[in-house]
Amino acid sequence: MILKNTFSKTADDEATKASSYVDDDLLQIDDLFREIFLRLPFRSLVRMKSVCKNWNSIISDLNVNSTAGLFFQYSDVNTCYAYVPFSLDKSKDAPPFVNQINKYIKDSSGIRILQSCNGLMLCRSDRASKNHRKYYICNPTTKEYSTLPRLVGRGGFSRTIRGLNLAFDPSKSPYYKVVCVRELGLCRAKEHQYQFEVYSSETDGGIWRKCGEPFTAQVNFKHGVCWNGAIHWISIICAEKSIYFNPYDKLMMPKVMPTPPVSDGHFSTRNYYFGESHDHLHYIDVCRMVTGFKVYEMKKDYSEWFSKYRVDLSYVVGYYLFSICTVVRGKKEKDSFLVLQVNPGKLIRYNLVCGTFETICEASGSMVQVHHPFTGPKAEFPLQYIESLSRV
Amino acid sequence: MVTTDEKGPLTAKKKSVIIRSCDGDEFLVSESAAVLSTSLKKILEEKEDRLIHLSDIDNKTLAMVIAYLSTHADDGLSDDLKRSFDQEFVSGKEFDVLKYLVLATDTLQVTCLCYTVAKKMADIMKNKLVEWVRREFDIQNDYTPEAEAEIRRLDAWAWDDRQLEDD
Repeated sequence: MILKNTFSKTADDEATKASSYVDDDLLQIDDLFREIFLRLPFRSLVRMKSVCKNWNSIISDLNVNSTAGLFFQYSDVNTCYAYVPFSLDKSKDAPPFVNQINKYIKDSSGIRILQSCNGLMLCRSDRASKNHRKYYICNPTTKEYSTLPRLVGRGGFSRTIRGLNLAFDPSKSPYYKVVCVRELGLCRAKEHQYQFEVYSSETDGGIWRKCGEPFTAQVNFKHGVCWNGAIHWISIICAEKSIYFNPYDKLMMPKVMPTPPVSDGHFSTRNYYFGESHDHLHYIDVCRMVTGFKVYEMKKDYSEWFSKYRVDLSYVVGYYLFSICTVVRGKKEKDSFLVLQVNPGKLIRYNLVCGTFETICEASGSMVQVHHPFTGPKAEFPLQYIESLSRV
Repeated sequence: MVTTDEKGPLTAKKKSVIIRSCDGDEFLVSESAAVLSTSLKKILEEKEDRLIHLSDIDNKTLAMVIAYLSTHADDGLSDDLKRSFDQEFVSGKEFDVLKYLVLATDTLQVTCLCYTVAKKMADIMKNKLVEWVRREFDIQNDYTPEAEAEIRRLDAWAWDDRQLEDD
């Protein structure tokens, strides 16, 4: 039969090629393989890499990223990690080494994760002094990591680093960029001036490049969120502007985005959740006195924040001592959910569409904790663990 | 004025197309079903010809695709019924049959069916040995034993003691 060998055809297989129905049938078959691969559980997919070299290369280039769990960091003498999967289904197990970044990145002072972005993580030396800090990009799924070139103060350029952020979107480019925010000192109006420096993984043996002109802003540069290839920072003070910067853009300056909504009667400083999930940028204004709130989403054209979900936790939590860990958007709308900490160590997964909920973690001890006025600064915001085969 | 009486002949005159498989058999398909395939739609737009010859799709596969298209073109069926038809459609089919089906849906550009079949194939493959997969797709192992062992060593976590099937 004609189709007999279509799946196994090789480039020099002229006899069968003549009878095929498209000219570039090899590409066509690879596309079909991709469709199948995208529907395999992650573990099975990784095993299929050993079928043949072609499959290995297709799978390695596949843009799979599904958000599988949360990474908790707790800084004691050393930074400790805990991993909590979203699913109780065993077949969806994460690799057993996901929470051992500090073991396979060889840094004598330990590792602290700064940001998780579409499958890659930005990390730095944990206990080293500022001048001896190293920065790394790592993929916790494949254990691959690379060390970023040293950030040095040069030519009258300030050494003060205000924030480091990763911009990576495998659907747009297989390369990532890291944006460093330097503080330059005060300008005439007595405001702090900042400047960007960008590293790109595309240029071989790349270096940090100064980008654009100095600018002023009052945002939290430590907590940047990557969405649409750009990094977004929220203003600390409600009245100030929130900004974003796209290192892939020709315009090398930050742009202003609409100010995230604040609930009435709120204090002048923010208490919020700000994060991205599967191409959606979310913002939640956390008012601790109520159990109902809205999840806002940014429109693709930056025209406004719109109310995406209304959440009512009155029947989930008996009191208002909860923290929002993360918002995850499902491939299907009905699979979108919110993860909440209701007690230290107890996490609840709340479906944003149906309002159903289930406990996904009930850990004793202090590992699984979210930063919260009551738990103190030792616990940090959890990071999403996104399964991906992206290269560092 | 259109009266109810005229409805009958109109329906009967509903255009149809003849599709010929590579085995030479011909299938009569309503145009509304045929145009659900992007490829067939393009062919019908380009030429008046009511006979389409598909030199790469065999009888058995073509009959299955046409059954799918006709069901999905039926306005009398609810979306829920169509969805359960899709599930029924792929269930119990042999991997070999699905392979031809996925190729045919790709050629004919019937995206929905292509995804349904790909999902079914992934469900069958997920717990299979690599050797099974190679055999089913007739793929030559082009790794040296050392290279293959190295690939497996790097992803050792994916190769735990879970039982993988070979049939």
